Amino acid sequence: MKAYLLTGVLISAVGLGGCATSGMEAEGKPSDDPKYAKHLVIHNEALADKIIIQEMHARVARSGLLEVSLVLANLTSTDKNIQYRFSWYDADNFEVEQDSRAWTPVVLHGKSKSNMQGLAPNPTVTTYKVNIRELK
Amino acid sequence: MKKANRLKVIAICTLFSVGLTGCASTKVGYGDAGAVESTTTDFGSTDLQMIAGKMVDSLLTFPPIVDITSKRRPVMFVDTIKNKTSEHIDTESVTDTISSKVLRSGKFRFVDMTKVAAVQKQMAYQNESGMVSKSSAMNMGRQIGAEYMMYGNLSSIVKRSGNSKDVYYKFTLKVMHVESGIVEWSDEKEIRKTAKKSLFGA
Repeated sequence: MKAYLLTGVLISAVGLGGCATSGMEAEGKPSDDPKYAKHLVIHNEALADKIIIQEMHARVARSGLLEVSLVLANLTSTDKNIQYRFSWYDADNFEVEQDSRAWTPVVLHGKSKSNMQGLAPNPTVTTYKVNIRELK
Repeated sequence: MKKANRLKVIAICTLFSVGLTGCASTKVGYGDAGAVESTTTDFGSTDLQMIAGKMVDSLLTFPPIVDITSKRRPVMFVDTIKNKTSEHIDTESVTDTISSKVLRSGKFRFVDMTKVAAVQKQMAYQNESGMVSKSSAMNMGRQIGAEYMMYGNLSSIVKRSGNSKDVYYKFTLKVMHVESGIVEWSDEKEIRKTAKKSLFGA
């Protein structure tokens, strides 16, 4: 009986560890309504209950580069260590500068909102994707 | 009976030691180069990527720089980044990442001052050695002078108290117009890293 219990605990711990590697994913382009993130994919429901993407703004700046501004809100009262990453796509949905994207760590204080910004690497970018996950 | 027991013990010990040796093997794997790295408070890959990302975004969105680069691609050269921290940091690697990103944005062009001697040697070979046909030899005195210079500093403040350590990095980058000496753009990136040694657990 004890052995079964231990196995159960181990499996659930592995499961939780697996969840920690993925988070939320949202796509957008400049014409999208900022209040509704299009194509929001939640890989980690536990994280989605704590952190939400409140707004997604995108514009093509005068330089011709796509600028993205993202408002993340921490719904809990404790500080959350998260990381985010932008990826960029051209009009044909090919990823631009694939190897140059890196995760950026950020601390979201309890019950607070924070703004993340990203700039496309070159003017061919038309759409973007953002991934958010918890930093372990 | 005693002998059989002794044999059993020896067999178990042998199996156990074989098992332990198995555990000691090294596993090599590939990781994500863009993943957040927080092994120590020393300057790391995430710091480099955060600094480069912030600096390039800031430079390319600064309105006067947008005006300068809207119709032409000015030529820039990268001077050294002074390492004022107590650590050994390859600041050339930071400027390499920044200049690559800026170049690939299509807004600036660069001249590489670290390769002047090599270019001079090649030009001398093409024009003076008599080995290269004159029609294909590159002409001397046609290089384009850099209009802007990129330079900066990396400094740190380290504080220790008991089991905790706090490191604050400040990276400052500037772009100067070479002819007039005017600094056209400047920005800073601050990074705070803390480490606490705990007696138990992670």
